[in-house]
Amino acid sequence: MFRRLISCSASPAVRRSAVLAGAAIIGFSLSGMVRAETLTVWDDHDSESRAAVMAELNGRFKEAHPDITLDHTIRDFADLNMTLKLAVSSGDGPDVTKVNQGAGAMGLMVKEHLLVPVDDFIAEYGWDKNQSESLLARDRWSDKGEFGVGPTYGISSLAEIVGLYYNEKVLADAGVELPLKSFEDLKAAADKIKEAGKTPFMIGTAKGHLTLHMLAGITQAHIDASDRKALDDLVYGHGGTFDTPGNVESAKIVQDWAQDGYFFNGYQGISGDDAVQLFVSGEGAFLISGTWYFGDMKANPDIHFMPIPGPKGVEHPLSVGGVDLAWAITSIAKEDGTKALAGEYINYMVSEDAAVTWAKAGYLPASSVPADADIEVTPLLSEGIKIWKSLNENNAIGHYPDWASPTMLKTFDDNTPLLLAGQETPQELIDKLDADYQAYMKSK
Amino acid sequence: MSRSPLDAKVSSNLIFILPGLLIYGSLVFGPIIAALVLSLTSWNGISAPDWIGFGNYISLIADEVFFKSLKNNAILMIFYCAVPVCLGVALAALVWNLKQKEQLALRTLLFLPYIMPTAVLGIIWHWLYNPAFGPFNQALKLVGLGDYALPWLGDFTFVLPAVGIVASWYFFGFCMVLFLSGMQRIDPSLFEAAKVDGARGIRTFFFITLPLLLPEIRIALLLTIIASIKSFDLIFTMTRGGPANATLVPNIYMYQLGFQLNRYGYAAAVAIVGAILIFVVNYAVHRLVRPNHAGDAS
Amino acid sequence: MSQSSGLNTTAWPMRIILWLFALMTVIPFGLLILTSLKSRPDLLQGAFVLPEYPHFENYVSAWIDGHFNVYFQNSVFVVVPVVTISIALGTLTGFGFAFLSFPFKRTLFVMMTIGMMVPTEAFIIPLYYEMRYTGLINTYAALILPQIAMSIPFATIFMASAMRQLPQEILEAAVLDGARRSYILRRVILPLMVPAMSTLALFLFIWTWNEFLIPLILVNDDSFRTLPIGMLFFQGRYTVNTPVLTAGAVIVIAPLILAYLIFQRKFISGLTSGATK
Repeated sequence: MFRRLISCSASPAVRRSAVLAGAAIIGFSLSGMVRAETLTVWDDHDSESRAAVMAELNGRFKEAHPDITLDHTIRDFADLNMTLKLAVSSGDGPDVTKVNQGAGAMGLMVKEHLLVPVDDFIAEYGWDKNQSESLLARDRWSDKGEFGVGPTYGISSLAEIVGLYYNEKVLADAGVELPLKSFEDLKAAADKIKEAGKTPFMIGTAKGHLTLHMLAGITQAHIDASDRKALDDLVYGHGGTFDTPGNVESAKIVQDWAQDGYFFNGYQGISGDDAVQLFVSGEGAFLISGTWYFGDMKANPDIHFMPIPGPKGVEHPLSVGGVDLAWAITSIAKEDGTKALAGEYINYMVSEDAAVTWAKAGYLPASSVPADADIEVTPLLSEGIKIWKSLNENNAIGHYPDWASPTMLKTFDDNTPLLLAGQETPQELIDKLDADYQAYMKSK
Repeated sequence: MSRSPLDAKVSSNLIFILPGLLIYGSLVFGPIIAALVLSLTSWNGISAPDWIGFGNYISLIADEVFFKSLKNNAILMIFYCAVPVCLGVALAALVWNLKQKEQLALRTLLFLPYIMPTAVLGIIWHWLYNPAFGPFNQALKLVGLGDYALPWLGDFTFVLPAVGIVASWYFFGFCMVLFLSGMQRIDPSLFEAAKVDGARGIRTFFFITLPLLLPEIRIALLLTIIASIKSFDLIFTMTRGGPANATLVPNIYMYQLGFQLNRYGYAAAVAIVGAILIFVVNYAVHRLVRPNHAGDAS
Repeated sequence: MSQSSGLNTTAWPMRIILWLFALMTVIPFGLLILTSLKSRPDLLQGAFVLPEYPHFENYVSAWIDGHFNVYFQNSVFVVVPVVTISIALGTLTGFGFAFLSFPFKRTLFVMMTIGMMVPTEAFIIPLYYEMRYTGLINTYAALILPQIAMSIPFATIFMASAMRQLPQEILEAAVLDGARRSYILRRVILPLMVPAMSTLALFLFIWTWNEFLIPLILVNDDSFRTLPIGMLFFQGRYTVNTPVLTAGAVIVIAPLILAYLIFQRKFISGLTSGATK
């Protein structure tokens, strides 16, 4: 088709009328739109090691389905959030996509009928056997816009824990004793490293959400699993407030660290991914973020992972986390054939085979890996698996606070740099977050 | 106007202009009108738009974020316009005295950024500025200025100048080349006369060259001011308007409002204000910066 | 005739300043190329240290894994029709505005100049929905048609002013010979318009090659992305692999630099004189 277009313009272009050439383009593009059995897939696996796993999984899915075309696009988290809804509502986007849970992405898309429930597939393939109710609840939205109940709109393939990465060697050099048993220990360790002239916290705030992880991680580590109801209610949209002493206190802690030089010098100018790379190269003692960096972190054997410790007296502190962005089927997959294929694709992505592939690369799958699987579990991953098990047993998996309202992530992004720079007080930040939340509750 | 010998009856004349006008009308002019209408509505992109008259424009007046974006744009103008134009004039005056070959070499090099996609330049500079991996801070440390190795694009005080300097870097060579071409137009006998009168380099520059360059200066001002109001690509790729709106400009705000928050009517109003600003500036520059012989020419 | 004759040559300090500015302009590109040839361990040695040997595999990574082959192809697929069709249409409309009479000529001309001044951002929302309703999102047409439309005002005004400068006698002679208008346009005017058209082509090439907003908004499928937009999303994925990222940037700007070096005089005179119109 292109040969036609090009030859048309390269041949004595003037002889043919320009209108004809224009018609050729339209004809071309329309014919380009008719796709034979193509499954369009978007995901957020933007790091090189996660992209490699996806390439492997996609390759095997294609082997099993030689007759289809897989049109696969990787987007980083920010761009996925930005474009997904727009693309699907325009009628030309992915059939299968990763989508962020919570009111900002999944909630809005369900409200606009841009996602298709996957309950039939759950029953057909038995996904619920591998994943707990409380994890699946994060993908549920009712027709009335209630979060956590109603039809299920997605399922995740990876587990996520936001926790504390620490560099054993840097800690030992500064004379910090392990293990850190309480939040007080963590603070004291940070002080000690600072005194030793080293960087306590590696962080980058220019892109990514490490500040959000740090704030939420610290707040929720102060909540015992037995007291989690207020947090659940808040995130699931039953009401509540961000204006709690715990939120203000953790904002204060983080602000103090930023102001007192506990963060990597220049943290405002580097991205979260940059910070991880620096941390792997040995800079900084701690980094607070999620298990999705396991594949990058394993390059440095000194790096370990633990939950953010709670203060003394909190027996089972919550850890922010849950599951990674959910695999979901969009309204683009209208035809039954496409929908079935989409279901099959997701089924493969949450399969045992996929879980083993993720684990081999050092990542934490949401469903358990069979004991007889032939994988060499990295030390980091075995720490992760142990924590994941105990968190599940204690019902201590917390929430991403940005799920609470459609604009919460933007409100966080707009205000946390001001907090760190000292241009906003902790109370002012919390007031902004709460104002956002209350406005959303009123609009429901 | 005298009739061209090529003119014929209207119906057959139209064949020549219709294809172009149709495609222009349907894909540019039509959407411009639609944006005007849209700016008078409240529309989330899905349900039918609500007619609210000038409601969006009234909201804009009270919108702190919008004013912040205008203020940022005003500051950016220093870097988009004042710096490149002043630098361009000064460099042109210096280059003018060089031999042809050297002049050509400098013109070629200094003009280079102007042909590049600003989006990609933004990405390149984003990397240059990276405090951990970027060459800029490494260079500062190498020459002993490590204390000044700041997180440029994350620093509330410096982020706007840091973005602005890229725009200056992009435009100054273009301005210089533009002024050089203007100087070529100037009658060499004027310089000779000045020399006979004993005027020295700097005086010649201020009293002869500069006034005669006014047409080019006007063009440079127009182009750079309009570019600053249009600025989107560079800021989008460098900071996306952050941190905390420190580099937000109206076009980025329009993008966020429309394509991220689905407030299309309000976003259209922001965009229309930007377009109106361009017309105002265009008119103002045409009125204010007039060649001093404007009276006798045409 | 050398224009500098008679004036004293610039003193050394001045020349050093000038060359410093030239250096400042070029250094970012130099660093870009240098970094694109490094390995990641090389990079940690410092930005200004030469690699042991050039790592051209970064270009392979960018080209294949980074999909720059797709982006490059798309950029070419978009630039070629936009430039040729815009010139063709601009020539026709320019001919109309230069020589022919039709109703509302003045109004239509004003409409054209408005289109030249209004930024794309001002009408991107309606344009996006127009493309959506016509089902053109994620097609080459969504990239090509609006950019042709955006090029028409400039192409028209540029061609019209070039044609008005043609000597009237030639046209009159042709008319007296009894030639038809289409014949005169094709055989008499066009050959004389080649320099103007090539300058115009240069403009349109740069604008289209560098366009950012149209592909950002009107396509979301990776397989339709053009170079600048592909670069943006590539940055999101490869922020930590700087050598491959910089190799990608070199792939985007290399054709521009190449064209610039070949047509350098035309670029400079065209872009500056075009600006004065």
